[in-house]
Amino acid sequence: MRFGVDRGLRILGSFGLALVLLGLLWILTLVGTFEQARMSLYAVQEQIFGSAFFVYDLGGVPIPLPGAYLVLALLFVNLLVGGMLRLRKGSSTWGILVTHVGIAMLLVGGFVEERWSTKGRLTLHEGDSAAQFVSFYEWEVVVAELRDDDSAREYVVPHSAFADLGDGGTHRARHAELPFELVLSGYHRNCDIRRASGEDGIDGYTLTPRAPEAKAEMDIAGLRVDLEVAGEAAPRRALLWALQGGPYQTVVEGRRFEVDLRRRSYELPFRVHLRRFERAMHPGTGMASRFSSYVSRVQDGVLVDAHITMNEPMRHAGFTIYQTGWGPEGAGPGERLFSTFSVVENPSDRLPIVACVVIAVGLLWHFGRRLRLHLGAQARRASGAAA
Amino acid sequence: MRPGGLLFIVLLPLTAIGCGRSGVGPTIGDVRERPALEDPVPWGLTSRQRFEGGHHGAVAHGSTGSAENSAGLSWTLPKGWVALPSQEMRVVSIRPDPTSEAECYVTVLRGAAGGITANVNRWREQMGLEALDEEGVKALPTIPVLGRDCVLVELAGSFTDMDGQTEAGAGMLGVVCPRTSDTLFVKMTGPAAVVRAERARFEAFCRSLEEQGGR
Repeated sequence: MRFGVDRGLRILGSFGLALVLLGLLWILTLVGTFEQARMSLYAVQEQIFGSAFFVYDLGGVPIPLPGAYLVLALLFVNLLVGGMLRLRKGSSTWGILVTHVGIAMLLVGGFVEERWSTKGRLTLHEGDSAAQFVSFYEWEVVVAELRDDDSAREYVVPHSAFADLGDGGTHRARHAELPFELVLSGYHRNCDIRRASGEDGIDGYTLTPRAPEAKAEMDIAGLRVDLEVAGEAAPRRALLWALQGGPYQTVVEGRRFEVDLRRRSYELPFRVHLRRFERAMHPGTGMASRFSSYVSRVQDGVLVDAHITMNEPMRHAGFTIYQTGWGPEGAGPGERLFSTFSVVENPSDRLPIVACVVIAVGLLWHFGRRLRLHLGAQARRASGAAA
Repeated sequence: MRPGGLLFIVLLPLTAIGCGRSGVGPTIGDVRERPALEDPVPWGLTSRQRFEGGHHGAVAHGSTGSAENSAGLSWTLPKGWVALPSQEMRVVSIRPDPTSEAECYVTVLRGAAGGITANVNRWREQMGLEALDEEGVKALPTIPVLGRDCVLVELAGSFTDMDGQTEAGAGMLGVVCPRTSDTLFVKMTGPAAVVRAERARFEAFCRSLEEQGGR
């Protein structure tokens, strides 16, 4: 048994396995690059880099491949066993050990980002402010109970509850305060709406799936929602479509409800106010050569002004806010503009730079030592020859 | 450390592969309060209004010459064009002449309505054409509408309408005009030859659109 475990650890930490894994990463990088010609970046990340296994279609020939997620996890184990735990410790290997620690930190940083980072978009018109941003790729179903003043209490069904419902499954969602249950089904990541009659349609319409867009953030999602109200023989059926002009509206027990499909939203721990947006246009075109936003950040009653430009994001409270766009496209002089920001919350934001410093220290130590030994040997040879 | 313990530690990262991002529960967990909207959605929307737009309550009047409506728009009809009786989802519907098979209409959708590229590609798909990337859309010609440079699309192909009916030899002219809080669309469909012949008048109609009260 012990012999088996020893052997397993030896294989897991072997240099040969490291070479195989690095070779696989090279292949996956190549495949991922080629696939971006026909798939969105998001889909490539999901299928090739975020999976344990996938089947690559090479001109009609299906080739099973390990996903980058599995390969990187194995590489981390290989590094841990072969490059750190089983490495002979001493002054001659100290630099290698530190370098391996740095590479492991990079892998950990990637894992943390993949698992716990949030990314999205924040759009503000001049003079507006917001304390939340929306996801690029994920949606949420929101049931809003309207009050007389049009404020609302919102009940949110997250994307993860219905993202896999395209193949006939259903998801049931309920809340103690709601007088009905929601049954979600027929989710399409990208779809269009068509008129339909009879059994094929819901109130005269049906969703027709479309191929995913080259940029996943352009996908227009849709799904079916049934409201099961206690005491009613049949559910109230509706379609939700991301491009719809308004939510599905219904009254249950005298209470007004809206059911909407919209991009998943995240709260910011501070409020961002867009004071002014500036753009400079390429002469004779409607294209901006540079643009930037003057914002104020308000948190706990403290206001701080900031300037966000294309290469100078605002970092605060673990969030990084980048300038990415503006609109309306083709806006005329004097028109009220809006500014679009990418918002990223990544707990391992600074880990890559720290890892690079660690790797640099390890490599400098290792190669510095080798250089010193080499020069020492040369000096000894020279003095030997002189003698 | 014993080899068994070591093996457990090093294989721990692999278990993360099997973990989902989040669990799927039967109940709704996240509950928020939402303040009243500046531009609330009117109550009582029908499916047609939700899916085919125009719930800004626009009702056109006047069959020739100038007209305006409650969507806050006014326009001048090109010579010979006639406005059709009002339709629920449209700001206005027009024909190049009373017997023409081509039809032009104006709709307004809330917000960005998916953006220019998505809408241009939706029209291209309706005509059986390949989608354009963002660079391709940026390269399209523009015309001034409501004080903005708006993308003008001219397409020919087989038009599939919302009922799924396909008509070969069709043409389409379209303008997407993003405004501060909504997006205005002007679209003409019909036989390709008719639509092509109407392009100059279509552009003139688009240029004649004006906002009343500075929306």
